[in-house]
Amino acid sequence: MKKLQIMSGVALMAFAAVICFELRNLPFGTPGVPGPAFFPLLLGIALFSLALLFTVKTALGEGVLTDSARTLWAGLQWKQVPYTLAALLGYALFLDRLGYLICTWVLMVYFFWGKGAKNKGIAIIGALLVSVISYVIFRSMLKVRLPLGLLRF
Amino acid sequence: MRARGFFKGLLIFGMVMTLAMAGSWAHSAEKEYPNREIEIVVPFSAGGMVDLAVRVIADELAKNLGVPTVIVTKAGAGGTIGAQYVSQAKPDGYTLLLGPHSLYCIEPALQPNLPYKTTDLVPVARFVNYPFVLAVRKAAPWKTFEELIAYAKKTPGKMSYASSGVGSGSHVIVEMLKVEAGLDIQHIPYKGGPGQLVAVLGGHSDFLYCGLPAVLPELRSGDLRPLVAAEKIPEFPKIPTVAEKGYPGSALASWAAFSVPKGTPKAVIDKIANAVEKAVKVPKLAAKLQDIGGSVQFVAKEELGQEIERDIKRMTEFIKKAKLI
Amino acid sequence: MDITQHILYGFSVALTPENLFYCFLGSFLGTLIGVLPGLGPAASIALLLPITFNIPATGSIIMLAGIFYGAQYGGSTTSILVNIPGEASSVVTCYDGYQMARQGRAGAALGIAAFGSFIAGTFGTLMIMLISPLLVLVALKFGPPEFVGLMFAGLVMVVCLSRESVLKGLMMAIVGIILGSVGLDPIFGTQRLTFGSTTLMGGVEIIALVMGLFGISEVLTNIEQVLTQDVYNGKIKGLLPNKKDWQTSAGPIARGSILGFFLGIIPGVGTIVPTFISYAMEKKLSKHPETFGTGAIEGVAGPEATNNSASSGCFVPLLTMGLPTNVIMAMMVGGLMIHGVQPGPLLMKQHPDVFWGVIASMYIGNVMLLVLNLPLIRIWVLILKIPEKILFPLIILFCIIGTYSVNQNYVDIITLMIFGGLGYMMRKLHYEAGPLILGFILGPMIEEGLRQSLLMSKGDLSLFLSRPIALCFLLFAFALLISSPVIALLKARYKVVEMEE
Repeated sequence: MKKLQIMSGVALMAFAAVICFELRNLPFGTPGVPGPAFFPLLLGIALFSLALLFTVKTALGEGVLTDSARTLWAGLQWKQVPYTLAALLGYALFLDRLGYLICTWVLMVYFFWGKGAKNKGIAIIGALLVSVISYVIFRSMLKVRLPLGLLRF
Repeated sequence: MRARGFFKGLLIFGMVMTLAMAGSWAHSAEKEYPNREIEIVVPFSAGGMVDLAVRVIADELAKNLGVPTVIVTKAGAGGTIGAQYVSQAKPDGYTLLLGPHSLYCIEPALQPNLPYKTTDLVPVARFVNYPFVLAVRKAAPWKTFEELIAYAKKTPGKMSYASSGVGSGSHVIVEMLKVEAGLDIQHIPYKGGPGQLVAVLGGHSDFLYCGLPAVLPELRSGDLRPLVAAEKIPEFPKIPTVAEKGYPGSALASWAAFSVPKGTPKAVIDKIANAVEKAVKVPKLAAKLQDIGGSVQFVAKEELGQEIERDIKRMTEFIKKAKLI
Repeated sequence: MDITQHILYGFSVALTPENLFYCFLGSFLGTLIGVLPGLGPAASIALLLPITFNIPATGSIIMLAGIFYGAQYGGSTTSILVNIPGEASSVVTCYDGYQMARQGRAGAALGIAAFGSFIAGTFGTLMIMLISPLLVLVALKFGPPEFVGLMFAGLVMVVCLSRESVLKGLMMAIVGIILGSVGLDPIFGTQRLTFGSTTLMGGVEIIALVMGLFGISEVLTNIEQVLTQDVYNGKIKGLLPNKKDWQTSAGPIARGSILGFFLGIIPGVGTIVPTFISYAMEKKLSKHPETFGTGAIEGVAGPEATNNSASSGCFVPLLTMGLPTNVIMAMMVGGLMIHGVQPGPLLMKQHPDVFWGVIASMYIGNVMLLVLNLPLIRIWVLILKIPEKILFPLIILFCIIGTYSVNQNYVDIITLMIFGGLGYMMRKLHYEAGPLILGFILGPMIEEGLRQSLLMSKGDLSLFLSRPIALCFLLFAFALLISSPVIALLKARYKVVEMEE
């Protein structure tokens, strides 16, 4: 855990550095008339310093948080997390192309899938139901415009 | 087990996608335009002047074109986000942009790196005109335009005015006045129409010079005192125009215009323009537009395109001269 | 004409079957929208606006208003039951509400949220009725310097109440502020940190950020659990708050109502920020601040009251001066104008039926919502029994729909995903999302206000000294900043002394 905390501190420092770097071309202005880069740059520097302070403090301090990185994820199906995120990413990228109905259906199938062999058929049908019903509810009751993609009827 | 689930999901995605792509090739009806609903993109947040105008006209347009019209809000970045979206949409006439003058004529002059070219959007028609009016709050000491100018000349740099944002009409028009009259007044940009209104009502800025709809209620109630306007306003005939006061150059139009992505067939553009023209001839519609502070003015296609080009040039020159960038 | 006559007239308008229907429809839709995570009143009102064109002016405003404050009622439901905020203004309710639910006290939490909301909403409506014109004068006095003072004080309050280390809270706040600066510079309009993306030109979408950090991350944390949580199989003890709950909550509800209303009047404040301030305030005022975060009912009662009275407060500038305080109010202005009703100072005189009708229907709406929500508590609790495998995908779906409904831009879903992952990591590593969100909202406002103030004073910071309201807030903020470490120091000293004896 301590190692992870240090890594998080370094990550923050990196973030701050990237921000400051990205701001390098913008006018800084004067304290009387601050430019676009004035505040973000100051904040970036502040963040960098704080993150540095934090990293050093954690590295030198005793391991108050005794659980190691391993226990943080012990016994958990942590792989589900990146898979879910990947599914969301895929959903976002295909949404406009394929439309809400198709994408939602596929997404729901993916989520319902792991119920076991018997229920796969139910998973597919259930997903379709969810997709269609939600579309109808949101479209007619709340007028949310969900992309039709290919199914333009 | 989990990994299998993941890959299965990916496989399904892939299969469906391939099927879908194949299907989309077969799909394509060249039925006559329009045969399904038309999307009107409003690049400003709901409730603003552009939004109001479009809601007034959307129904009429739907009637004239025979298909439903849907209003889509894509706000942000002075309207350029919505404009970019439309510029990249399919040029089939089902995606229209309704934008204000500032988006078509000022943004291109102000922003060096727009994500689209002005030629990517083809203007179709403009239908409503908002006069610009300069006003101070009720308790302000200036009763006439001359008094304001005189005070500004006496106190260079001390006065301030509120605009609804950098690059908006309410910003540029005051800068034009400053150049013409030789004034030094501090510009303070606020967030949108309400922001600038609150600033002036609360006394945090001295005056504003903006489109009529944003200040109509206050003008009618007397909380704001109009000193001068860019053109004659029928409801307030007593307000002098800047031309009368000797500053004809600081006049700016503010209108709302439809445009489509480049490459839209001429027949489609004609149909839309005709629908708009028919719509504004309806007396009830004209009355509604007047209610919110606008007046009907119809200019279309090539004429509008030339108007926009001229204005972009004018704005570019002015912005360079006034060193606004 | 005195107030009683006015309000009786208003009731006569509001109690027609037509307007009652619109009131009910609005409240119901609002609750639904509030409950569904991600879907917010702003997007929905924008989409429903055209429907109201065929309805008379009074009816349409009644309905839209109902949606708006109804959403504040519903937002707390999912916050309490599944730790996912239904509305951005219900984020704070997650902190203690969810903990209460885990202790089997979901009913009490939902109940106190409903009652607190009712009391606050009624209070807010009462205040609108009685002293609107005066309030507006005060609200107008809030110029950029006052804004800076208020927002800065708010930010300090929240960072100081971080549960974990203040250092981490501060870092999160700064990250939030930096994220908030993405987009166009408020004064010069230049692109800032947009990395060439057009979507980023409009800034990071707040709904995607909040739903990702709170909603998606919560789902992700649950997805990785192998064991299903059977917390709710135990009997739900009592569906209503008991006497002790009422006693503890009375103060927070009262304070929340007042705080929310007055903050809501100020243009630009919204309903999210006051809830955070209320939470911070209750924690500071409580005799047992350490219970906050473990199921203290004050942490639910206060913020819930606040967001309802804030939503009432938002109406004040609209009804009295035609000034919209946020996007939703701006839409109401538009709606009114299209009906030929001029919002503004003359609204009361020219269209008393609209003015008083809307106010009367707010009372009715609050009652309706209470009546709607209390029995619904049983149903909501039943929702918890839905197997997680179905519930969580549905929640993800609603978050997606809600996020997409704002801009119809698929990039927002990617934002949702990114912040979902980020929120997940933050939970694992004990970083808090609250300061980040507040930094995201308040940071840009403080920067804009500060730069506007400097423009006003031509670079002279002493402007703040000459404006009493602004000065008050700033002094308060600095006092807070200094007091925390000082008190901590004193406590440590005291402990040492104690130990030595």
